Amino acid sequence: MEFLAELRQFSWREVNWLWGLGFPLVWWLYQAWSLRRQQTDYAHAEFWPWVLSQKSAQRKFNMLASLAWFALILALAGPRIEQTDVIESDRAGVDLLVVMDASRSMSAQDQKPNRFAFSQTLIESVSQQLNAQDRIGLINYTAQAHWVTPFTQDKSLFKRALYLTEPNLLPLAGSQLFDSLSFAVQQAPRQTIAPLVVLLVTDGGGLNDALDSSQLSELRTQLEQQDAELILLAVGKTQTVWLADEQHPSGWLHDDNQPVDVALPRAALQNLSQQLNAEYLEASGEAGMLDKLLTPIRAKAERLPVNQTKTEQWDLAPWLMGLALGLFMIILHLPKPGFKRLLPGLSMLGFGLFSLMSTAPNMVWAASTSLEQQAYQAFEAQEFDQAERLYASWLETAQATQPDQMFRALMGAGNAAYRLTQFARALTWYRQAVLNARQDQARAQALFNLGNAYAQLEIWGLAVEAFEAVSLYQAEHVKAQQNLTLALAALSEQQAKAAEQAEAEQAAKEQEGLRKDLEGSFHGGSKPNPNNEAGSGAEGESDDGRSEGTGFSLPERMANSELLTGQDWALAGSAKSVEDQLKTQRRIDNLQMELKDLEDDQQALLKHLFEREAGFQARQDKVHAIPGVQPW
Amino acid sequence: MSISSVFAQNQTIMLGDSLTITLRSDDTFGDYKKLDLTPLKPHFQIDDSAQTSDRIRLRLTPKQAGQIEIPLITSGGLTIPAQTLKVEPNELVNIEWQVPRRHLWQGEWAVWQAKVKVTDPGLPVEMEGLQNSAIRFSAQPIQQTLDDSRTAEFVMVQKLANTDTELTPPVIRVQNRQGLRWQFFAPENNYQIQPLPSYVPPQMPVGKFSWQVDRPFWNRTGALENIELTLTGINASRLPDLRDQLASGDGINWLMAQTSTTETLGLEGRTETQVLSQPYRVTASGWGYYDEIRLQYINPETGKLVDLIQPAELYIALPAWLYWIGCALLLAVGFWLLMVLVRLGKIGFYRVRRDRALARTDDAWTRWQIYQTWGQARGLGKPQTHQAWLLAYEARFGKNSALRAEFEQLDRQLYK
Repeated sequence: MEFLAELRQFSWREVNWLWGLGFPLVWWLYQAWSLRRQQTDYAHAEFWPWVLSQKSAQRKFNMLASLAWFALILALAGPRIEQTDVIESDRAGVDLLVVMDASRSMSAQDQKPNRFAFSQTLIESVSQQLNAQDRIGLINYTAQAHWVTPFTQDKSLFKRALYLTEPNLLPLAGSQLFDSLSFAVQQAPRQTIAPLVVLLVTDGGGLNDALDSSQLSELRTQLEQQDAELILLAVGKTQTVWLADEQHPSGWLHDDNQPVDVALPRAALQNLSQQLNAEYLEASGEAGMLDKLLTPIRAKAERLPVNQTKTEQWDLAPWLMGLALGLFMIILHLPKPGFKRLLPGLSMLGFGLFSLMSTAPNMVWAASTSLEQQAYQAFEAQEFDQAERLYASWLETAQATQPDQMFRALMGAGNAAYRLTQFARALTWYRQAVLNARQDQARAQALFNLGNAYAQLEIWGLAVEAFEAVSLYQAEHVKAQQNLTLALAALSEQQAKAAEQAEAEQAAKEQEGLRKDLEGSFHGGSKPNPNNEAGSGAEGESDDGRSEGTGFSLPERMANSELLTGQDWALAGSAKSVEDQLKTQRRIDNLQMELKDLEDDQQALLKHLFEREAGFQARQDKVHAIPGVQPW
Repeated sequence: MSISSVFAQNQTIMLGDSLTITLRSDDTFGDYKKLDLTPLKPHFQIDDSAQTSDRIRLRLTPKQAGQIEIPLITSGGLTIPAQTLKVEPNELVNIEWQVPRRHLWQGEWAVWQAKVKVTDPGLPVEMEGLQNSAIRFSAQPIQQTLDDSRTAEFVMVQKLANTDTELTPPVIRVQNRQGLRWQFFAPENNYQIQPLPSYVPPQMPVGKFSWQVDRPFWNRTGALENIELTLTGINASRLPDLRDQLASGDGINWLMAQTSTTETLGLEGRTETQVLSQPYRVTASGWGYYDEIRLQYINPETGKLVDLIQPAELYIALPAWLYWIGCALLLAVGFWLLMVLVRLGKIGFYRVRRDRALARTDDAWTRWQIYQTWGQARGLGKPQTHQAWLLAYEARFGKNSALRAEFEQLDRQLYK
């Protein structure tokens, strides 16, 4: 029973890979057929027991190759077992204070892209690994330390603050490591509510070989008093590197006509960490780096007894992958004469694997095709409402995989909406289809259908635009050219009517004005009855309820279907509102774009804050060197 | 009272030169406001900034060489008489203009390019244009060649923020030997700025784009890796934000992307280059796919929507130890291949050297020496007899009947 329970917790990462298990079967069948044919050609069946060798190299290879293949496919399918454990203890939160050097030397490019950006990435990774109850704060320092963000549990807020800073942003140049660390250790307890861990990120700037013993002992005392754990994270390489400077013609920072070079003073930093009982780490991008950083942080936290369960997944894939590799290595050591004969088999194996790997992302196709079929069938059965819904849900599955499926889904949904005479909705689908088409012909098709939908709504200007655009992608689209002619005619008629109407209104106003002048009095400002004005659908009042628009070719997938009924034109009156909606949407889109373009310079605000803290009332264009402090 | 004199004195001028006309009447400014200068505008750049309390001085600079017919223009007391003016080409300065297309798109950058050839290389040449945030130009040449004559190329770009943006062409100024400045204006075109089609979102970029995407195939599980995308937009309305698309793919912990953008002015116009650096960590060993990246834009020359697509790409993540072992193995295999190639090269070289030497001689003793030298190079030692040499050869390379026949012949020639 326990076995069955465990079996229920068994799952696959990508079950579609298991189809690959059938591949050796095909190969075996082929081998058996081929062998039998060879044997038949060689001798009668009654002599086979005498002429056949007991174990051929081929058979051995088959066995090993199949086993290796099975192991590989199973590994690719990612078998995993979920195991639920009771967690007996957990930890309480910690307050992690990152104290980061932001001097010019941190822009050295011995870490990619530079020391500072590399440190930011590393700290972001650490912040992601912290528990929800952990808090994290940030201090940047050069010649003076500044709080960038106080302790917060909101890791995204911390991340935003972290990336607002950059080297040379603070108003004073240079690095004063001791003073800054002292500032951090003194300031942090005012905010801490949990054990304090200080992560000092430095490239050794401002650190002399001979450490000031009085400063050191003072700092050690402060750390002990606060019971703070200090981690010293050294960033950079011990080889010297020049500092970049865009202003200088050479591209490198110069001091006294000599390029400025910096190197990580490893020995001095190690010495410092020993003196302060700190954990010394050198920053790297390796996977183990995060664990090295997180271990002392986690160790600092209080242990808490809890009764929670924790589910972990045991991934069996690496073991199977190892087995497969081992088997393949054995196969490679098979006797050479047989190897040539095995080459076709090996090639087939390789080809099979490559095919599986290259088609893996497309495997959802099989599942989504049935949805397309259902939608198509619903469309054919004239259940357009259902078809539109099915196409929409197919879109959701197709969206993540195949662009051509996405396009077909959008067009299908649009066509269904069109047949439902929901032209405004059809417009939305078609516009998306235009953007999602990958070939010119497909885009032309979407534009043509879009033009038709506009035409049905009697938004002639946009219909003309869509039909004209068709020719950009498919020059010989005859239907589009015909519809363009009709739409242009309708547009000019509409414009003429509008001009006529405007003139009539103007004349009426003048008449009214004249009458008022004559009467010499005001009658309450009643406007002309808006119902008497000609609506935009007035031109559709023919006997059969159609307008000139019936000459339009229907969307391409429905060209042979029956024409729309008279009720379709009931929408013509609402065309104005659709047009207004489109205009409103366009305005909103434009505003959103302008809003995005607005300069949200939070970094400048932060910089100004630092300047105020440093005693500068006005904005500073450059950083200021302090006598006695190296300005990088 | 009106004064209009300058035209009559000089009916011929050179391209680059200006002529002035002073206007004065009882109501100079009132009359000037009503003065219709439209007939002059196609032919002249008009500068009316020189004004005093009672007169206005018009500075007219012809835009191209040829004959200009000026009709009578009057307003109140002001009169510009009808006359014919001949503008002769400037023999010292020749300018090839490339002006923007007639049909432009809202958002794109219009480009003027001027290739100025000055027969006197000592004449200073510079470009001038309006100074504002929507215009970029370099007063000094972007590219120039100096020979008997001097050829200098200038570029100016202007962002067409709206459909009613007025295009302000640049002017090339050349200082002549007399210390005066010749002015050459870009030819004007009847420009039309089209809004973006309604079926595309307003943030759709207009311009020419290209990119280079570098996504690592091999990754170390949990280690910090980096994807780099360099996007280049030429005269582009905007560079689209591709960060969301770049940081897309399962099984990857995406970190904050960092961007740096640079802008340069070249002969083809304004080039904006954005380097997008996307750090990430692959969370588990195995393989996966980076998602497709797609950039859609309007090509201003064709007006078509264009898709720039970086297809989904396979990646493999290995534990660091396996990755480094693999690297070491690859290195070893590479070294082995190199050694094999060197060996093959040496074998080929010895063979060619032997065959050439054999072809040059029929002397049996020399031929035997050649074989011996070759055998030494191929590690056969220095056997003293033909038979011993052949045995050593066949023990190493297998039987060779042609060589055996050759040695039999050598035997006959040497010991007959």
